[in-house]
Amino acid sequence: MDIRPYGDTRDDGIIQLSFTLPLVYSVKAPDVGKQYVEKLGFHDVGVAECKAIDPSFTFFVAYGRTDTGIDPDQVKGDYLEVEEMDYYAINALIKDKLGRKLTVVGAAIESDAHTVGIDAIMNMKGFAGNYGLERYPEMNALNMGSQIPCEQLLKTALERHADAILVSQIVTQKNIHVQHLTKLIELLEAEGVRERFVLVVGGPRINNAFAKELGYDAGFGPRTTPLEVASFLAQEVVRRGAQS
Amino acid sequence: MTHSPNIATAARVADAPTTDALYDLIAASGARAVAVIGLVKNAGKTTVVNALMAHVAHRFGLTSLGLDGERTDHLTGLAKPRIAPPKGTLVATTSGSLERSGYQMQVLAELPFTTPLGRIVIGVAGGEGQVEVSGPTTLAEVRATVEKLQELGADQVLVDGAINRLGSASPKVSDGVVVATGGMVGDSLDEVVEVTRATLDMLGLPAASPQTLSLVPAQDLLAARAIAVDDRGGRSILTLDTVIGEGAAVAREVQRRHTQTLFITGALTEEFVDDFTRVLAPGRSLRIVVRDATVLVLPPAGVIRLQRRGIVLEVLTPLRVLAVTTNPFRVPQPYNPTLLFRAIADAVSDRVPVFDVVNGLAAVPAAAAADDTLLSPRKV
Repeated sequence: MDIRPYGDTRDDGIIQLSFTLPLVYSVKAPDVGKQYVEKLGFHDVGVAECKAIDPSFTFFVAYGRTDTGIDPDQVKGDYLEVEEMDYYAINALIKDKLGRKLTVVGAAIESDAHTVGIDAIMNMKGFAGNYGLERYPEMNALNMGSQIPCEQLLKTALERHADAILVSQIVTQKNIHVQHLTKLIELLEAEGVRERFVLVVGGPRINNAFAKELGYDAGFGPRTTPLEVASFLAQEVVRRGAQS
Repeated sequence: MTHSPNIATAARVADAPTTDALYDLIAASGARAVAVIGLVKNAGKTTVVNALMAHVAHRFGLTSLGLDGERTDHLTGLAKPRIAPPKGTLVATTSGSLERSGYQMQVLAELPFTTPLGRIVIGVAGGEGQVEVSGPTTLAEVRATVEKLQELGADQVLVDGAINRLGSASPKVSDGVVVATGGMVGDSLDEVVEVTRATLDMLGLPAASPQTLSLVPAQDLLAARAIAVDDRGGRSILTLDTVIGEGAAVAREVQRRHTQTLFITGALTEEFVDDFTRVLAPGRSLRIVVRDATVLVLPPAGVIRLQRRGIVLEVLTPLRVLAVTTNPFRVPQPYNPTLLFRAIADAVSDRVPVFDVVNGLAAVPAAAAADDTLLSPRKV
């Protein structure tokens, strides 16, 4: 069933827009903004704010009503379908079903010096009101930090008999980081140990389908919380344990 | 992204005679599974796979190590070639990709491999619509999928590669390789040619001789990470969990044990080569045998560095590179197709046939052309 934006009442289709036009502010500026929004297909347009932000630019805040709706059931994405659990349930699942601690090794690999992603997920204090993986009593979580060569990450994962490897990576336009991500996979396959680990990649330009393309078991994009990663890890490691 | 879609790789119509020639070569190769690998993302793998599949008389099986046939590239936002398998093609993809592409096919089998996009399903293409193809995640699973496709009646299985990965070329998965190269491989035409040539050198590393293979029992090669054989045939297994990060230690062992032949059963990395060559005495003769070329997780320059030190690098199982394909695509401006093709063909067509299936260009080694009248497209 189609849904439409909620402004004042259900289904009124009202949207707030803010934008800047390269227009010198004058008395006609509000009309320029209004007619522009109408050209976008909105009706009942009202310009709430219209100000010069520069000698040659004008900023607008406008409201408009749209007839367009969307049926969420028709949206096909590439979302990782994992049941999100809470902190206590995750620990209990590992303790009951795995019967030992779950070991995770994480790093930002190769030339990537950004620790913000891996820290948000792994560091004890966590992120967005969630504890990081280090806080989970049923996990042995090692955050190796940034600029870790794939070789060192693999060696550490082998030494610690890790269940999962977490890779954080900012993929840039030049695509060099893509090659880092595939290097880790090629290395694991060449060593014949790919099946030993649940491989997770996260970063601002990662999604689940892209993780598949790269050869990982799951991909997490922006706004991922430690709880989502922990839920996936616990369920996936337990599932694999049950299979083998 | 602001790139105009008209320079994208999408929706290229293949040139029929050239595609026929490449198809004939692949069909005649006898390879049961052909890996199409790219030296870089957007090298033209899927365009080649599409062109080959158009030969409906042949029952192809199709799967992918990565993700192909999606509308736009996740990273670049550029349009990608869609995959429209002809009726009867056996397709192995994920349930998620099937759903995303809204593709209808008669499902024959479901395999117990999970991916980020769901389970692997195998079906028969109905010949209508476009499908997103994304196979299993690991090489062992791809191998099992290839076997299942063969069991269900595929004459030949095409394994579309993933990004720049060589993995699907592994003899574990395939027994023939098509290498897709193109304008995106380097910043200049010289670099494109150099990387292509060096990668082919690496993929074409020779097999170890039967005498060399007889030095070590097969079961040792499965169990040990590194085995050193000295000048009198004395064998010693180096006790290591992995040779990764142990280049210096392995080099010291090689010196100490007067090793002539070193078998390495896992990955060979750039870091290993750096450490190993730093410690090994200059001018020391040595033969290193690795599993196959796909375990060389290093830039081709690393191989050259070993060889310059007089170290002979050989493989247990050689790869069969059946053909090279070129793709002039490059951001922001594509190359002139003939210019790029000619540069690559001049460098490598003495040993492997080179094709540009979109622009109708082909060059084959003189020896192959003489006894193979099937290769008829115009030569350049």
